[in-house]
Amino acid sequence: MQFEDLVKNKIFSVSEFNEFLNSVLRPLNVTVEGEIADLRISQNKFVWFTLKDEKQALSCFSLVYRIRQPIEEGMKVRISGYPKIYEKSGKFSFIVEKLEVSGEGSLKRAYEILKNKLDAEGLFAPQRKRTIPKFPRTLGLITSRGAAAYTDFLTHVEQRWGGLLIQFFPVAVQGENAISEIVSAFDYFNHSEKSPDTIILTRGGGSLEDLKEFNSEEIARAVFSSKSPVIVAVGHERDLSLAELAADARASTPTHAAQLAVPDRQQLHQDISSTMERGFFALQSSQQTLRHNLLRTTQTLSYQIESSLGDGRRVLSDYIDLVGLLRQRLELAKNRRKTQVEVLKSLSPQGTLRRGYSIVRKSGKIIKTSEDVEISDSLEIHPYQGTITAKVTKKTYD
Amino acid sequence: MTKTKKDDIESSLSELEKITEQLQDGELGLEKSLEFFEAGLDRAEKLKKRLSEIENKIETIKLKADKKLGLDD
Repeated sequence: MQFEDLVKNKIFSVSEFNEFLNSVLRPLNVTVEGEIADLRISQNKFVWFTLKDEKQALSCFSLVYRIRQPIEEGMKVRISGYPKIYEKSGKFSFIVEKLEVSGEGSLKRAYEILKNKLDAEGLFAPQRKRTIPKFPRTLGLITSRGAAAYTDFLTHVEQRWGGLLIQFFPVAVQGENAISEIVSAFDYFNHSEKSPDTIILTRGGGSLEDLKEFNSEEIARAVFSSKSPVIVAVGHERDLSLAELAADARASTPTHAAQLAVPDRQQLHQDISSTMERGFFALQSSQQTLRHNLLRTTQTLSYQIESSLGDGRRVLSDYIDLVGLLRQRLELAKNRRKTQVEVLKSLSPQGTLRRGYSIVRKSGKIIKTSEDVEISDSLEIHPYQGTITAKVTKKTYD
Repeated sequence: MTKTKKDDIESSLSELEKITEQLQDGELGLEKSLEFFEAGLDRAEKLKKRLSEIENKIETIKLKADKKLGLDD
């Protein structure tokens, strides 16, 4: 070996040897699987633990931000990183750059711990859930292009609704890049000028191992912090993923997600028709009510006219009676006056003259006896008509 | 009755519902009822027109900065 040649006969100082060892060890990027023991976290920053199998142990060091998920003793994990000798203490440690929980039991445990933590923070609180818009214009779709979920979702959206703008952000839904890509998709939509009305994050179902990205804290928080309401749909049989719990709505399948995301035009068509029908019936019935009211009003009115006409008739006949009475009285008064005039007429001297009498005057003085005149006196005789002048030729006195 | 472009369908639908309710109340006169019914027809026509839109547009977002968009699954 080259190393052997290199170190043969060479005397190292301690520092030189440690540095030499580290330069040899550093390029070794390895993954080791084992169980966590003696876990210690300091200042919420530094993490120490021992990775064990049935027989042996490996001392490990990491930083909290690299672990990215809750861990506890007894958990089975895969750590990736490199071995290192600490120059000052000479202690050997495995520097963990990446940690993944492995094995169904440990994944389940990690899921539970994270779920409790996020739940306590209120990420899953029902009162924080927003309503999914009923009639969206734009949808943000986050999924993998090749996935059945992509096709299922789009096919069902197509069947149900039109006129949409679907902004498709392709991501890996599983594997190394899934978390960062999904987080950057949410980030893109949050910062895009017009965030979509609804965002759909979907993938097909899988094992807990397959779904572990959907159970990551990063994705749960990205879903929770989305500006647009989010529907998360993961086909699965068991526990809900943390992404689904943090979503505003969750769908059991991509098809179901389409049903939640957009209305069904056929259903809506029916709804509109039945609403219009109700409106039409209401109009018809108000017409009927009106017709009925009109009829009733007409009847009432004609009855009122009839009855007030009856009143008028009574007044009229009373009037007629009164006029008759007055006429009678007038007639009577006229007759009475006529008689009186006749009587008055008969009493006047003219009346007497008319009957053949005459008045005799001497120098204007009425002669009542023969003694008032002398022979040869000139007398004026006034008959009914005209005047006669006469001379007294004889007079007697009886 | 104002409408915003974004949710015109939602507001048209709720207007239609409101119009129908008022018609059903029977408080309106015949003339008003006819007027309302016509307004309802107008909304329904608009809605049906919107329902006849079939096409959806799909726009794929590509991030220039992101070089590692993989195709998993």
